[in-house]
Amino acid sequence: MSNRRNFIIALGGVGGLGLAFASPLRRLLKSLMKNESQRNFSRFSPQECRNYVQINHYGGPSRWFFDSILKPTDGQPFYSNPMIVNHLQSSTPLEFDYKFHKVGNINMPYLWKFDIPSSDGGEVPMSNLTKNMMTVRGVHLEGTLGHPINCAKMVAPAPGGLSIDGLVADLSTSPIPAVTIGNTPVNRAFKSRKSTVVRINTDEENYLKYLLDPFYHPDTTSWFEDKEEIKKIVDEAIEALKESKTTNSSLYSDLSKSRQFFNETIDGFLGEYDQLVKKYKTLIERSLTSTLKGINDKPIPGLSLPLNFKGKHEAIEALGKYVLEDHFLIDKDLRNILNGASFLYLAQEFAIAEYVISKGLSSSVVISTKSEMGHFFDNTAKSFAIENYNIVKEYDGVNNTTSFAASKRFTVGNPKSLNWSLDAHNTGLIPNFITTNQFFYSIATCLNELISSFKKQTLNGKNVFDETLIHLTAEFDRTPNQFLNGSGHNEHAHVSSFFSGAIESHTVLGNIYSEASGDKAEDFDDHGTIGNAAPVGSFNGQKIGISNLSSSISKILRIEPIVGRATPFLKLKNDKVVPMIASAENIEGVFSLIEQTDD
Amino acid sequence: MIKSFFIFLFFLTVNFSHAQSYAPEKSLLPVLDFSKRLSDRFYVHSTLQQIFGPSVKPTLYKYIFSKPNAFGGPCDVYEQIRPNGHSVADQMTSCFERNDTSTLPLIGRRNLLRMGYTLKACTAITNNNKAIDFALQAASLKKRDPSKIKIEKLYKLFYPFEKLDHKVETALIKIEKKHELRWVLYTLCIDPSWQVL
Repeated sequence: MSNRRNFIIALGGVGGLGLAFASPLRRLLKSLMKNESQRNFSRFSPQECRNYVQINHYGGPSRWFFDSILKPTDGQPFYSNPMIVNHLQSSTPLEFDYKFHKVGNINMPYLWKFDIPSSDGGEVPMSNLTKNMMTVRGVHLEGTLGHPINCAKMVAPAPGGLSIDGLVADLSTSPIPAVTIGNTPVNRAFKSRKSTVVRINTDEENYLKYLLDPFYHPDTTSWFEDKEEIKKIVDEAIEALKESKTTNSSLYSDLSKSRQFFNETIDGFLGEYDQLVKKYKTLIERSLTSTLKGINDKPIPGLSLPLNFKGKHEAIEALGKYVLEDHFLIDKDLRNILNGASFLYLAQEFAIAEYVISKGLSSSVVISTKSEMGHFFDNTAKSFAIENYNIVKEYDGVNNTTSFAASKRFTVGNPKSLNWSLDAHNTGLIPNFITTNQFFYSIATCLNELISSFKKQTLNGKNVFDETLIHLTAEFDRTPNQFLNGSGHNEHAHVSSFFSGAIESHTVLGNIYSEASGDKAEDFDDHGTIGNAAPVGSFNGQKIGISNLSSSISKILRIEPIVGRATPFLKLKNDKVVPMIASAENIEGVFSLIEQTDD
Repeated sequence: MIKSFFIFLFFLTVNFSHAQSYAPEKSLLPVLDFSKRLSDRFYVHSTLQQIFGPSVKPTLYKYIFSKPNAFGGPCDVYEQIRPNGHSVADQMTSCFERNDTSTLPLIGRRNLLRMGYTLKACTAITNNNKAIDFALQAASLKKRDPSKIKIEKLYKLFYPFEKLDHKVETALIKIEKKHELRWVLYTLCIDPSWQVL
């Protein structure tokens, strides 16, 4: 310790005798000593902000399967929408409904009923995730429409401005302040005052090798013999250069770190990382083959023609629930579409997040899709399907019936490769049910493992999970199509879920409109609770906007808010999240784009 | 005791507040942040090629030019000629399969990856005898030059307009005397200051 530090400690000791040194001075002494330790560089020195992991499903898959909490507690108004289903009631006839599973006193979607694979080979309840989970629903995107800008808003609520991961990077003490994986607007929205982000393409073979590549010298030649001696005199020369160029000291600090980091820490990293990737791959494989009662335990027959319907209909109206893109699925059992389904990159994405955060290599990891054409799975089985133009419609005006049949030129032929887009505009009820349930079941499996791993680790004396915020999000939730043939963007129904040790209990915030029941809805848009933002009385009667959400995230992360005027709806007390608004409520009423005010 | 107290008060006036204590509620919105402006990948690439010659082109492409995220320097999509949909005719116009390479800043920022890649490039370059020979020739080094002159000439390769500091000169001469000139070049290469604009 320096003489100055000894001096200060000595003064503090005298102060402890309660003589001339009153307690405010002791606090000052403490802060001096604290500043002194912060001055000392160590590779994993404490950082002021929390770590940030965002998992962003660009495209906006329907969240009513997972974390769009449509009826938080019993007694809240909720009306079902025919497209919003999450449970298979029966195969014959094919019937679906929307079921809840109570976790504590909160009605979670049905999927939460199940256990998920864990890394010890067993299973754990998915509901374990809720212990440190906060869902914010009914968030409106403040007027912007479409994917790109709203995806970017997930980190940068003021378009073109600073981003959450940028601000975390600025306060980071990690060697690589921020990492972003994927190639979507959220990856491109990184903006900070003084930091850079490492961008990794989703299909990079080995993410960790890519990150460590600058420091990895597998081909060190014999020219580096007598390394220590050479290193010493090179160090002396570098020191002399540094002294001669005093304004560049931060650059020399980077040089020193690079040389130290390279020399000490590369070996073994890749092997350890490989184990993590294998771990997540195994978990994902198990999740993809799990039987979930009421979801994939019974056959789900595809479209079987010919069919007759009462009234006059187009094919899309009557057969919409079987739609995928411009095809209708005709497999005998549509569960087959997931045969051989896999996630090509998910294991690496979670492995790198776990690795860099728990090792202190990085403070921010933003994960999004490979491109702006994100889809649920890779390698899904091909589906037998009939094109829309191969369906022949006949309307019988006398009996007022419409029949649909396959055209004579149609042959079943070979199964087709179809696009299972996360942006499910043209994904009918049935394929949406099959894919999205499975998708989130696998995501939950990986999330659980990530959280469990973080909980077991400490860094700089602090629990990694306590010091990390995991943010599961997408641009928005979706508005069902009237004919059950897909769903559109709902920029008034953004949902984000957060997981952190800073969140001490299961919390659901944000109000939504109940909308109307089927018999009372004036049109389809009003039919059923889908998550449209409603005012929150305890939030000054405002709806929660994306800027408010961002400010709240900043609060948890201990960074400055990006939109200063946007009030957060939570605070930190003893470094734990405390909501400043009431728990989520469903407000009786119908969402309208035009706000009505009392004159 | 009283003397100690006043000495302590004196220390209070000395700057000890360099470590940031962040309190979001109280901080003013900072509008300025100071950081060195660093050259981008184009500059680093061309400087090292000028010093070490054409034999280092593959090394520079691998460790410097193809790392736009680390060094900065956007690609210009209007300069690209595409013989097919998947490649560009001139490697130097590639955006490396990322849309955002074209939006990278012109001015580089300090980061550890940049330094790591510089280390890798300099290690590979100074292990290349052709590159060393080229650099010695570019510096117009003669075998009979005394150490001081040699060091000054090599220093000028990286800092053509700067005067060589005496301490730096002494340290570099020490390297030259104990080991080869390639280690001097290595030291100068990894020195980050020549990358500052």
